[in-house]
Amino acid sequence: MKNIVKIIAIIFGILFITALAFSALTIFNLSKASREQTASEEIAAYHFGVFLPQNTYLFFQDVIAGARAAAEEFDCALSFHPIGNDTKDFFMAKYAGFDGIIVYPSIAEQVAQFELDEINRAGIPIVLIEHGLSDKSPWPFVGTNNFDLGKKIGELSGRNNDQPIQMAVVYSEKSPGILSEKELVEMGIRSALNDRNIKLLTVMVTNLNPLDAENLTYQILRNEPEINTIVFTDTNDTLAAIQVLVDLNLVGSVRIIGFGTDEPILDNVGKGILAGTIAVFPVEIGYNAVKVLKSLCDEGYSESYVDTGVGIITKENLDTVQKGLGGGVK
Amino acid sequence: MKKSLQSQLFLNVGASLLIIVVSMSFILFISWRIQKIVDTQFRNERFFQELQDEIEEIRTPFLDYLSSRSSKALASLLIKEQTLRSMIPDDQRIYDSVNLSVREVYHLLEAYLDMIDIAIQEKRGSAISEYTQLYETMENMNQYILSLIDKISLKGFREQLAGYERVINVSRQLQFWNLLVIIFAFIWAISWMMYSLNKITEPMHLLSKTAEELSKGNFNVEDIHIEAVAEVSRVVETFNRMKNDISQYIAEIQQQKTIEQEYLNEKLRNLKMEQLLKRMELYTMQAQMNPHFLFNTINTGVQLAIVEEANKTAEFMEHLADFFRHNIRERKLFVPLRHEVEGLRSYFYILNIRFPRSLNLNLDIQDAIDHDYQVPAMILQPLVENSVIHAFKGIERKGSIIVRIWQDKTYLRCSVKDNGVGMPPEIIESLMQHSFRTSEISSKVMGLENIIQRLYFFYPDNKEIIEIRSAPGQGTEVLININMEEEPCITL
Repeated sequence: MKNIVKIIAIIFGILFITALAFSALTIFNLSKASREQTASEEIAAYHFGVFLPQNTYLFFQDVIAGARAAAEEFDCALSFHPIGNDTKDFFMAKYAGFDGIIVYPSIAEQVAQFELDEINRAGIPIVLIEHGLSDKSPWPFVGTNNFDLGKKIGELSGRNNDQPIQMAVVYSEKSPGILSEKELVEMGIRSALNDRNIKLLTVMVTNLNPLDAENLTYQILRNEPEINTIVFTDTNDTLAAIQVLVDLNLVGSVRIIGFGTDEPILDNVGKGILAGTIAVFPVEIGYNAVKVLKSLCDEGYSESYVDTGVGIITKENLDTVQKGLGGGVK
Repeated sequence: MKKSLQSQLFLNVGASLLIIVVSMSFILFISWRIQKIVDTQFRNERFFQELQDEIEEIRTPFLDYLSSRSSKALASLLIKEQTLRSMIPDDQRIYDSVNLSVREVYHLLEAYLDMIDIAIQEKRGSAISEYTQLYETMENMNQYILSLIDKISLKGFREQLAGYERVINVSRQLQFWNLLVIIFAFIWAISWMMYSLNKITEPMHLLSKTAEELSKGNFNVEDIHIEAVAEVSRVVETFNRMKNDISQYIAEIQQQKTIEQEYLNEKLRNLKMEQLLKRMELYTMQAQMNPHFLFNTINTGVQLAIVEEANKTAEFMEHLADFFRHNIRERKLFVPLRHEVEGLRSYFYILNIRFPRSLNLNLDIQDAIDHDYQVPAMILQPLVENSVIHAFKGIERKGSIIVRIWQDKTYLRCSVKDNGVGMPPEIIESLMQHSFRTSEISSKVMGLENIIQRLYFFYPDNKEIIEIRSAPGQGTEVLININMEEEPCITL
């Protein structure tokens, strides 16, 4: 009897200690998780504000991804803010304690210029990406050279095409950097096709509505049947136009030159619906913007212009591009 | 060193209570910890709520002051400003995305508060257009800060909600473990107390069992050997000593009783002996009465035979008178061997006259024998008489009785041998018993059994004092072996 009681005492003693240990371990883990959740480690030397249009375009998502990669590499913290007429973020930037800002100035040029001057007076370094501002204030610029962009468009439209080129170029408010330098783009096109018979019949602009291009493409194809090449400068516009082209059964009759490297765009390149697409490498834009701003903060100066390049994706180099996007684009 | 009962009880009860107190304290600690974790989870949100209220509230005294330049409004404004400045932490290092937004809020707030100072100065300097424009900017800024805090709070709240969900899940796990802790602690404490109580009460239980055995008279139970508290150990030790002492006393009493019994037996034996002696004396006296009369009468006959010149009759009667004289002369238990031999010769003469043709008697006595050696009285003649009476019943041939007496080293040996019918073994066995058959003593007091029992009595250490060698049809020899170096147990 005595031994049985002793064994019971030992067993329940062990069970008690085990349960106590598990309970203690659980509360310890919870405390640890709570501490980790509430306390963060210092991660950055600089706090940069990135001001981009508030939309879901892949272009800006890639810019953000590139910027984040650079921030991690260069020990910077980024906070992303919308810029537009309906938000005050950009106007409060000068008070928000940023060590530097990266701006895609998608607001009225005059307003943007004023605010940038204010920010500049507050001693905050600025880097612009894909801007269409005048060159009065020589802030560092990271992005595409629109003349090169035009040249690539011309090069692609003349490839495998002996026919006279009847071209329509569709700009977009969704790509203000290109829109603001459309003359430069067209110069590039002409420069690439200088010995070819080219006729730029129509220049059109879509608004910020992603579906705007669908209606516009219908109008072009119905009202101007002589057009055999349409160039888009925005990804959403390209996707909308592809739908119209398929609906009207004009695949092969009208060459579409798209914009961007989204998966649906590349799929259509592979299917031959698109003659090709223009790639502007937004990841590199974001990356280089942070890199330049960091250099500006650290050393007080930086490159005034970083050209991130323009590429062409066609059916021929699609596989290479899909394996390592950017590798064989240029 | 053994613990006392008090300290043992105190320790065990204390240990059991400690188990329960520890488990309860642990549960209490867990509750407090969870409360603290939950509190931490929403601490920032509460702070932002407070900050937002303060930012909202500073607008009123600010506008009041700008509208009225009231010193009361100014005082209120400055207090609010001070309160807000105290809420801005000194540490504004750059952390993760949430902290970046918070950092922006603090910078915006600092800028806002600086603007308040500027606006106050402009109000004092009556720079109306400047502070009016500044007020407008600050209103936008105030709204922006509030909206930013809203976003931060919302984001933080959503993140903390996920964390809170985890806390709730972990709390459920903790509740399970803590339930087990309480159950196990309770059973552990109970079983520990039972074990401890057993440890204390087991010796008492053993003591009671052993005492019960002792009360039944069983003192052969083992001593109690057990680990126990000091007091119980002392009781056990004393109990063992008491048990062993009682056992020893009982053994001594039993030994004493045995001795007393032996003493009583000895006394009884002596009484019997005395009784026997008295009977023998009585017999002797009874036997003496008639022999004296016969002796005197026979002497008268002898004288008469001599007067009448009947010499042979006179000789016969003289031997008869000697025989009776011998029988009545000695009242002692031991007599010289010579007396026994003289008595036997007279007896033989009488027998030869009585049975001249049917009985052949032969007496063979060693020459060098000590005739003065003391032997028990009347041991030879009765043996011859026994043979004459019993040995030749139904035998027609001439009987023979040979009596031999010789010394063999330290032994005096007396043999009475006949060639009669012999003696059955069961009779021999019955006769050789070391006990009197008292009922027959009166009739056979002088017979064979009487001689055997007397010899056993006189020589108790000599197991072979008398032997009977007999076979049916081949006669009987009764042999007496007296160790001459051994003193008889009684000499009267």
